[in-house]
Amino acid sequence: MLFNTSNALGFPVLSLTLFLPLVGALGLLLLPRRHDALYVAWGTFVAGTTTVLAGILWLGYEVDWPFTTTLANFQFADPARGPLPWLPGGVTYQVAVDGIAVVLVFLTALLTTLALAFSLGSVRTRVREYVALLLVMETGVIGVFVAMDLFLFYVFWEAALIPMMLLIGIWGGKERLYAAYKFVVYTIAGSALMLVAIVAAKELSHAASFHYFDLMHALAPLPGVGSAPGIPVPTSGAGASIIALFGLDLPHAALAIRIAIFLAFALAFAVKVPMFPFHTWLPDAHVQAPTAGSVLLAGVLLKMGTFGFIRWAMPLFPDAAMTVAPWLVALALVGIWYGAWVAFAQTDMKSLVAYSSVSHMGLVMIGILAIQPVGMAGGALQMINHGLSTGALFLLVGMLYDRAHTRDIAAFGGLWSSMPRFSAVFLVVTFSSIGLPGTNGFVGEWLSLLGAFQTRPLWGILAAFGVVFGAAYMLRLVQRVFFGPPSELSRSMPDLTGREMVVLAPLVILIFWIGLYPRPFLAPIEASGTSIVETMRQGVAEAVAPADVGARIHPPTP
Amino acid sequence: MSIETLLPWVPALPLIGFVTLVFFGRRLGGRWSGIVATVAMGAAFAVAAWLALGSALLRPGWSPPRVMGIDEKHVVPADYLDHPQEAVYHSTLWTWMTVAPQYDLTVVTRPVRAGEPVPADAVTTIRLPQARITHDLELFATSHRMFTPEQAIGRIARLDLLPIGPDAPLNGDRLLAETTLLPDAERAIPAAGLPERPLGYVVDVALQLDALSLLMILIVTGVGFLIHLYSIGYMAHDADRPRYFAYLNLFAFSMLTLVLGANFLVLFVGWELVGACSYLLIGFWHKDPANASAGRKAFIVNRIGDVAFLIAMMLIFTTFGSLAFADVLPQAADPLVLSGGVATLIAALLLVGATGKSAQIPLYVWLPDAMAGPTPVSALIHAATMVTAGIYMMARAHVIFDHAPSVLVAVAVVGAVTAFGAALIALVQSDIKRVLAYSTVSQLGYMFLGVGAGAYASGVFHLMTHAFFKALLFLGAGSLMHAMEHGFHHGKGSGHGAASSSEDHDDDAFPPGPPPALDGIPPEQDLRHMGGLLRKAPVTGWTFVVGGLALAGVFPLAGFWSKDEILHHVIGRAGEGGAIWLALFALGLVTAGLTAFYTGRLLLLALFGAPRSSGAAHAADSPRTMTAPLVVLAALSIVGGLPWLSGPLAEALDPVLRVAGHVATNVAGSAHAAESGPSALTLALIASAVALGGLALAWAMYRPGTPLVDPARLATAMGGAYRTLRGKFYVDELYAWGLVRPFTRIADFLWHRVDDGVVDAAVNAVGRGAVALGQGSRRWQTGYVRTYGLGIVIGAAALAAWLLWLV
Repeated sequence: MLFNTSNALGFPVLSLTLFLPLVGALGLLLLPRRHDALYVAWGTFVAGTTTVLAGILWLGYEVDWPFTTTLANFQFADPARGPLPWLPGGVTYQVAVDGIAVVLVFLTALLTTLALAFSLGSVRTRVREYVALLLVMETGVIGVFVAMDLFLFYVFWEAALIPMMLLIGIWGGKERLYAAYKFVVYTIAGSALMLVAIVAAKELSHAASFHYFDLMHALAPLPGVGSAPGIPVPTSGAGASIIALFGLDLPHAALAIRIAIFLAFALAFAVKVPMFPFHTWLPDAHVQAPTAGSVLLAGVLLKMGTFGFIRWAMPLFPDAAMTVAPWLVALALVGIWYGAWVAFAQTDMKSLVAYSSVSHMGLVMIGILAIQPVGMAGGALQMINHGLSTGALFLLVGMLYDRAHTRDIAAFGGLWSSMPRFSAVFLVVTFSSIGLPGTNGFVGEWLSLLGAFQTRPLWGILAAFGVVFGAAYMLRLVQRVFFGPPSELSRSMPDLTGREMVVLAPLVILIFWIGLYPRPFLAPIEASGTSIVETMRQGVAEAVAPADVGARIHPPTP
Repeated sequence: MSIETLLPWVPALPLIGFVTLVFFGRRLGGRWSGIVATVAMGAAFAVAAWLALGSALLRPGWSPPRVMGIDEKHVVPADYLDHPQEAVYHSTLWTWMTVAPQYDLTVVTRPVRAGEPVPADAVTTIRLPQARITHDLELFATSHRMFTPEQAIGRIARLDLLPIGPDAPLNGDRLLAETTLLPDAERAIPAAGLPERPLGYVVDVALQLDALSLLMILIVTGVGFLIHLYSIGYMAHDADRPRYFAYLNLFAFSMLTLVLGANFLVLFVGWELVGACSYLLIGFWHKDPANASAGRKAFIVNRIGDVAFLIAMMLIFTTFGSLAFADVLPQAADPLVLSGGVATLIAALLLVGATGKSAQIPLYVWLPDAMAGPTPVSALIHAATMVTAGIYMMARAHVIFDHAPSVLVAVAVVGAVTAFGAALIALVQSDIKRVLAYSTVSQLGYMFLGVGAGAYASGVFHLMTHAFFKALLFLGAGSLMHAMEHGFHHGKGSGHGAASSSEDHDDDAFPPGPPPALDGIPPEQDLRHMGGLLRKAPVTGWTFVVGGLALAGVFPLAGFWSKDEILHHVIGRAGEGGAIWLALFALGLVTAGLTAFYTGRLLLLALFGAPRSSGAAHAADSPRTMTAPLVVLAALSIVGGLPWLSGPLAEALDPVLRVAGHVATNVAGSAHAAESGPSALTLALIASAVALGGLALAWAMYRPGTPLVDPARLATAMGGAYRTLRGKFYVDELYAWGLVRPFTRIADFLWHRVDDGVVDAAVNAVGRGAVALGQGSRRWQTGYVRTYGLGIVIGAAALAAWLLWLV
C-alpha cells in the first residue's frame, strides 16, 4: 500500500487526544459553581492528560522503518481502515499524524497545560469560561495538525480561531475589543479565501473527496500510481474565455490555475504565520491578550500557518509552490529584517516579543520554502523552537506583569538583584531565542539557513544577518530590564515562586534537550519533511517530463 | 583508560563544576564555590597533562594510533591511515543532527547466475537519499527489465536488512557495500548494503585531539587553573562569587569545546559560547550600566563576525558535503574539489569571523571595553584564551587558506595594521588595563601577521607565549590594583601601616582615601596615581617586570623568540620579491619598538619612582593565592619560548600545520625563509636592538626623577596626534555615528512611520472601506418588499443571461 496508515496501538488514540480537551471543557459544566481554583486545576489536569497522550503518540511514532515509501509517514490513523464519510460532497473524517504533526501536537498539549497551570491565580474573572475556551482551542489546534481531510482541516482552523478571539476580547487589556476585532477580521478574510481555494482544488481536479490522499492523487501526480490528471484546463465556459483573454497556452493555463489556488491558500496561511506585510494584527493581539492567550497564540496558533504550507499548500501544488517560492521568500526575508528592526524600537515587552515572532517566523518560512530536506527539517524544528522560546518569553513577561502591572521596559532595570532566578531563566530563554548553540534555537536556525543557502546562497546569507539583529534587540531588552541600578519598581519584586518554576521547568529542559540532543524531535520531523520535499520534486519532475530513469540514477563516478 | 575515553572529560569537568555551581552555588557560598571551580579546572588540567604524556602527539617519531592499543571502534578514518604522520584521536559522543541521510548503494545491473561471482562491469554505484531508495531502485530495476515493481519492493525490503559482514570489502570510497545474491535468484538482484555512517547532512558531537588542540587545551586548562586560583583571592570580597565562578567554569568548558571540536559546527558551539560567557563576565558587575553595555557591545560585535563564520560554514558544507575536519580538510587539499574562487571566498569569510573573535580591524572595538569585567576575566578571556580563538581557527582550517593566497595577504595586512595601530593607541593610555588591552589587540595582530605569512606554527607559538606573559601582566595589574585599593583604604591614620610608616613619612602628604577619578578611570587602575609599587608589592612588582620584558621582546624571554620567529617568516616572504611583505616587515619591526616603548612606560610609571597617591604610598602585596600564580606564569614567561621547548613543539605541530606540497608556493615564506632573508642571527640582533631602543626611549621619558624628554611637553608639541591617540582614533565615535545611530533611527522610523503609518494604516483603511461599503449597502435593506422583489428580478435575469451564454 502506498500510504501507510498503521495504528500500532490498536485503539483510536489520536481521536482521543483530539477530543479529550473538548470533553474536558464540557465536563467543566458539571463542576460546582464558584470554585475558580478547581476549574483551573481541572483544566490543567485535562490538558496534562492530553499531553501524556500526545507524548505516547510521539514516543510511539515509528521513524526508522526501513526505506519508507514516499508519503508512508502517516501513523495512528483513525479510523485506521480508511476515511469515514462525514458530510455530503466528499467530506470525510480521518485523523492521522506525520512526523511533523506528531511533534506539533505534543507542543500544543504541553503549552496549553503550562498556560493553564500559569493561569491559576493570574486570571480572576469568569474563570470557568476561560478554562473552557482554552480547552476548546486546544482541540481546534490539534485538529488542524491531525486532520487528513482538507475540509476537516478548515473546520478545525476556524474552530481554533473563535476561542482566541473571545480570550482577547474578554480577558484582554484596554484595547482588547479593537485587537480582537482586528484579529478576527484579518484571519477570516484569509480563511474565506482559503475556503474558495479548498472547494476549487477539489472540484477542478475532480478528486474523489477532500481527503489528503485523494487530493494528492488527483493534483500531484505520484510515481507508481500512474500519472494523475492534475487539474484539467477548462475548454469551455468562463474559465476558457478567461484563458483566451490572457492568450495563455494550455500548459501555462493549467499552471496559472494551480498558482491562483496556491496563492489563495498562501494568503490565508501567510496571515496566520504572519508574514510581512500581513503581520500588523499580531502586535495588537499579543499586547492585548491575556498571558495564556499570548503563549498559545505565539506558541501554536502561528504554527497553523506554516503547517498549512507544509502539509497542504506545497505538496498539493508543488510546481506552483516552486514558481511562487522566490516571491514568498522575499517577503520572509523582509520579515526577518523588518521584524527584528521594529522589535528593536519597541518600548512594550510584549510587542517586542511579538515583532520578534515576525522575524523568527520569517526564518521558518525561509527554511520551508527552500524545498530542501535540510531546510524543511530546520523550518519545522524551528516552529517547535519558536513555540518553546516565545511561549516561555510570554510566560515570563506575564509573571512580571502580574507583579508590576506594567510591561513598559523603561519601568524596570536592575531586576537581577531582586529576582536572580527569574533573571537566569529569562537569560536562558533569551539565548534560546537568539539561537545560541547548545540551545534549541541554534539547531533550527542553522538547518533553516543551510537549507536556504543550498537553494539560493543569497537567501541564506541575507537571512543569516537576522542572527545579529536578534542579538541586538534581545540583549537590549535584557540589559534594560535586568541590569543597571535597580529601579523603584524592581526593588520590591519577589523572585519566582515554586509554581512558576514548575511551569517554566519543562520549557527550559526542552530548550537544552533540543539544543544538545535533537534526535527525538528531529528524526520524525526530518523523515516526513524529506518525504514531502521528495514528493514535491518528483511531482514537478513528472509533470515536466515523463519519468527518465537514467537522469535520476547517476552513473558511477570513477 | 584509552585516550578517547579520557578526552571528553577535559571539557566535561568544568561543565560539571558549572552545573554544580548553578544549582548549589548559593548553598556552597563564595569560598567553596571558588574551591569547587578551581578543583574542576585543576582536574581538567590534570587530564590534559595526562593526555599529553599518554598520547603520542608530542613524541618525535610518531607511530599510528592503532599501535597504541586503542580499541578498534575508534580508530581514525582511512584517510589518515594514508598519511600516517597525522596523529588524531577521535571521540564521537553522539549524533547531533541528521537530515536526509543518503547512502551509496552498490547494485548489480546484469543477470548473474546464483553462485557465480559478479563481474566487475555488472556493478554500479548509485547514491540515493534514504527516502528515495525504494522508489528509485524500483525504477532502476524496471528499467533494466529485471523486476516488476512489486517484485522489486519485496526483494529490496529483504536485502536492506542484510547485515554487513565483518570482512566486507572496504571500497575506498569510505563505504562498506556488499554485493549479495539471493538464493532463489536466477536473475540479478539489486543488492544494498548500508554503510556504517550515512552520507548527507550528518553532524556529530565529536571531539578530536591532535597536537594543535592538545597545545590549546594545555594552555586553557593550565592558565585557566592559575587564574581560577588567583580569583579566589581577588574576588574574596565579592558577594556574588558563586555566579562568578559558575561563569568562569562555563567559559572554560566552552573554550575547551572550541579547541577540541572535531567539526566546524562543534567549534562554532564553543565559538559562540565563549562569546556568551564573555558577555556575562564583562557585565558581571551589572549594576553599572556601562559594564552591561560593554558586555553587550562585545557580544554584538562578535556576532557580526559570527555571521561571516556561519556563511562560511554553509559554503563549506555545500562544497564538501560535510563539516567534519576529517572530511573537509583532506578534501580541501585537493584542487579538484576546492577551486581557488571558493577557497578564497571561504577563507575570506573565516577571516572576517576571526577578526571578530580575535579583535582585529575592523571589529576590535569591543576588546578595550571588555576591560569592564573583573581583571582575572580580562586575563583569562580577553588575553590568554578566547581572543586567540581566531588564530586557532585559521590554523585549524589552514588547508583552505593555503589555497587562497590573496586572503593570506589580507590576513597579514589586517594583522600588521592592527598591531601597529593598537600599539600607537597603547602609547598614551593612562588606564593600566587599557594599555594592556590595546597591547593584546596589537599582539593578536602579530599572530595574524604570522598566520598570513603562512607561518602557522609561529602564530600558534606566539599565541602560547603571549598567553603566558599577557595573563601574567593582567593578573599582575589586578594585583597592583588590589594593592592600590589596600593603600587607599589603609592609608594614613588607619594604624595598619605602622611597619612601613618609618620610610613613608613623606608620603603622608597625600590625603587619605582614593582621589577623584580622572577621565572616568578608577583611581586604583590609573597609572597617574601609581608609582613606586615595586618596593611596596615586590612579588607582584618583579613578576610584572618579567612579564613586561617578555612582552617587549627582550632576550631571552618568551616574547623575544616567538615575535622574532614571526618577523623572520615575514621577511622571508619579502625575500621572494613581494614589496608588500617588506612593508609588513617594517610595520612589524616598528610595532616591536612601540611595544617596547609602551611596556617600558607602563613599568616605569607603575613600579618605579615615587608614589603619586595615598594608594601607592600605602600599598601592600597581595595574598599568596594571588601571587603564586604570578610566580608560575613568570617562570613560564621566562622559559616558555626557549628553543628547547619551541623546537619539539614545532615538530609536534608540523603534521597538523604543514602546508601541502602543491600549494607550498602560496605560502612559501615559511619554507624558504632561511635562504632568502637575513640570517636568523642578524634578525635577532635587529629585533633586540629595536626592543632595547624602545625601552631606552621610555627610560628617557619616564625615568624616576627629571626626564630627559618631558612627555608633557611632547604631548603639547604634538597636540593633534596626541589627542587622536588619546581618543583611540575616534573609531568608537565613528561607529556610533555611522552605524549605531542610523540603526536605532531606522528602527524608530520603521516602527512609527512604516509599520504604524503605512502597513497598519493600509489595513485599517481597508477595514474602514469595508465598513463604509457596509454602510452604503445597508440602504438596500429597506424593509420594503418591492425593493427586494426588484433585486430578485435583476438577479434572476443576470443568472439566466449567464446560463444562456454558457450554453
